[in-house]
Amino acid sequence: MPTTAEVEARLRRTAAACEPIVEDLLGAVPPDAAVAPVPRRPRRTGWLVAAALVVAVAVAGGLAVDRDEGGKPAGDVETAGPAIAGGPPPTTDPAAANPALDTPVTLADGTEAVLAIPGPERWTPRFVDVDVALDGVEHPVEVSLATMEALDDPPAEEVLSDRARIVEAGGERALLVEVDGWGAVLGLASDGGDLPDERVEEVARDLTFRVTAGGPVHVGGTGIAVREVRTLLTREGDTMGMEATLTVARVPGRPHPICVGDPPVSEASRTQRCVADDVLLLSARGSRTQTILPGVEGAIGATATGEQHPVSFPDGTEAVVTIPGDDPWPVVVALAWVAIEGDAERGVRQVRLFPESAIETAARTGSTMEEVDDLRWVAHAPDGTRRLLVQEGGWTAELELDDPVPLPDGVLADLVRTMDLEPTAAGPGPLTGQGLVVTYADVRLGDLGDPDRPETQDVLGLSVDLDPCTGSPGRCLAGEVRATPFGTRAGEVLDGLTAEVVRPPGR
Amino acid sequence: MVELHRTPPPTADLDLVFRECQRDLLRTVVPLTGGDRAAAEDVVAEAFARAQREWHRVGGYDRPDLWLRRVALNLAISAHRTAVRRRRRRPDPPADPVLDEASIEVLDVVRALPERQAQVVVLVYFAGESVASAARVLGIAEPTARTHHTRALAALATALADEEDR
Repeated sequence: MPTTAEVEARLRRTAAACEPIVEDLLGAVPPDAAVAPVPRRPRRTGWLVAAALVVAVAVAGGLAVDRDEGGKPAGDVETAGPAIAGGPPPTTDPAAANPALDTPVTLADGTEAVLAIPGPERWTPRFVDVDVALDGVEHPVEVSLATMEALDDPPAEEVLSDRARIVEAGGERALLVEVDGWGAVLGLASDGGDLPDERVEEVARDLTFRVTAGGPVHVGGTGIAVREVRTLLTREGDTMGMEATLTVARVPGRPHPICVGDPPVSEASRTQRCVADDVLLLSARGSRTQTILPGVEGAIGATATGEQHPVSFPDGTEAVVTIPGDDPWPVVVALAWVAIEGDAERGVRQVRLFPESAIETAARTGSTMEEVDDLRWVAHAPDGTRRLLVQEGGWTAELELDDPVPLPDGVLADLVRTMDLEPTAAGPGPLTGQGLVVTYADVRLGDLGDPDRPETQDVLGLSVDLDPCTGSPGRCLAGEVRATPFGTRAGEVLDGLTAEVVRPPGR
Repeated sequence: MVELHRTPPPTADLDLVFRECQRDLLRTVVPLTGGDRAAAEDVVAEAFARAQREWHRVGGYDRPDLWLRRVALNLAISAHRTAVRRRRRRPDPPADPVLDEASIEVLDVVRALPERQAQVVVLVYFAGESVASAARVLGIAEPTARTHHTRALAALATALADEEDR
């Protein structure tokens, strides 16, 4: 066993061995040599000194980049190929010897990009990282996404739900959220300290993403804001080692900060390059990857515009609906038609779900409340009708007990005891109960307006049909989800709506 | 008398702050990336980008250089952990190794330390800080830093002995 002195000696020897790398990265330029001749390579007066000058200019003068009429940074050198903004002229021409191979990349914010990467090897998107800001957490947190196979399906240290668990990953505790064969891993020890347990539970419940053929997209959720998305590509045939990667990064909604400036920080780097009008930042790891980096070109396609709204329906369906514009569209009410086993006429009863307490729901009909337990009441309206109220997680479900006919006593007793809901940040969640089947689910977003003046409401109704939605009012969005506008604002966004079903009914 | 209206503190010059701490930045980042130049550049570039975004706030700190060094430290550790999560096996040694095997062995065991211990070791032995000044960089109490330092050395001794036994 080495002594403390021996350990310290080894540490100091290792530090000495690292020093040449430090000096190399500094460019061996004295710190006060702010101005120096441009070297023969794109690397300027010591990469880091130049970066300081760029950053100082950017901070002092705002982040405006002097651009020519074509939109490229002024003074940029035209590179060969179509009208795709490139970087500094390559010192080699890998494209001539190795024709570029187009690699489609779907970034986690929904951006569709195509990278033309000099061959002969083909590159494959392998991992996805997303930097997110969590409400109440000071520093950004990194979420890593990969297939469960790539993650080796780590065993759970603690199961939080049917899709979330605490695992050990890379020597630390992490939260794993699984959706459609992909896992999102989030380390619980962030820069500013461990995530509080209640925040971990919230993230486990609220973190959402959708899996497409191109990988996970639309990562986010209530209280979760995306700051940067990155996709790591590796060469086909490479092992899972990380010796050679090409990372494409984007900050949603604007040019990448490392691409901004006059000149940008990236211009002085041999490992980073900006493409696609500075929207995408490429980072190369590995000597061969750095060699081909100057020859990589990139272009982006259309990205989904508008705000994404996760929606959870009373039948268990979960969807993400993209609504044009940035107006708020809160969930204001949900409706469910239910069939109850043993119901005298096997009729269909209506359940209304409100984002409020049971007391507030009872007040709508001027009802008095008869308590069943802490979360359940029977509300007696002045007209003699009764409603079952079940309150959970900021939502109250209201079931008509006498319309169209009174429920049989035995059925009523079972339902009073068992009816339940599982709200999420996206809505009321699935409605369940003994013998209860949801036959139709509807969630309404927007503004209910004045209840005494129906003409003031402006809501977007989203409903889930068991049959394909054809010949119905409104628009069919995803084969199962139909949108119906009630009001002017809802009518204006109808044509631009898109939806993806994340979880089918009855999960 | 309590001052009710604070005048904004003078904003430090990011360029100047960077020049003054760039060498220390690299001395902490390079070992945590295992001598990987590209990774070290990525980390420092990202630390810069964050400084640029936050300078309206950080520039008013008494020691903005400490903020920059902390961010770079945390980014380097985070990048290493992400890479470890994705490796199914230890990567093959590079064809043209930058560091000798003994140094790589030491860096591997340093990077495997708990986060705080790794930070203290890197600051003390690679960036030339004292334990007291390392505590200031990390924003922790000096006795806490000393505890991490002591435990780190013990853990390193055990880990290096295990490596020798293999």
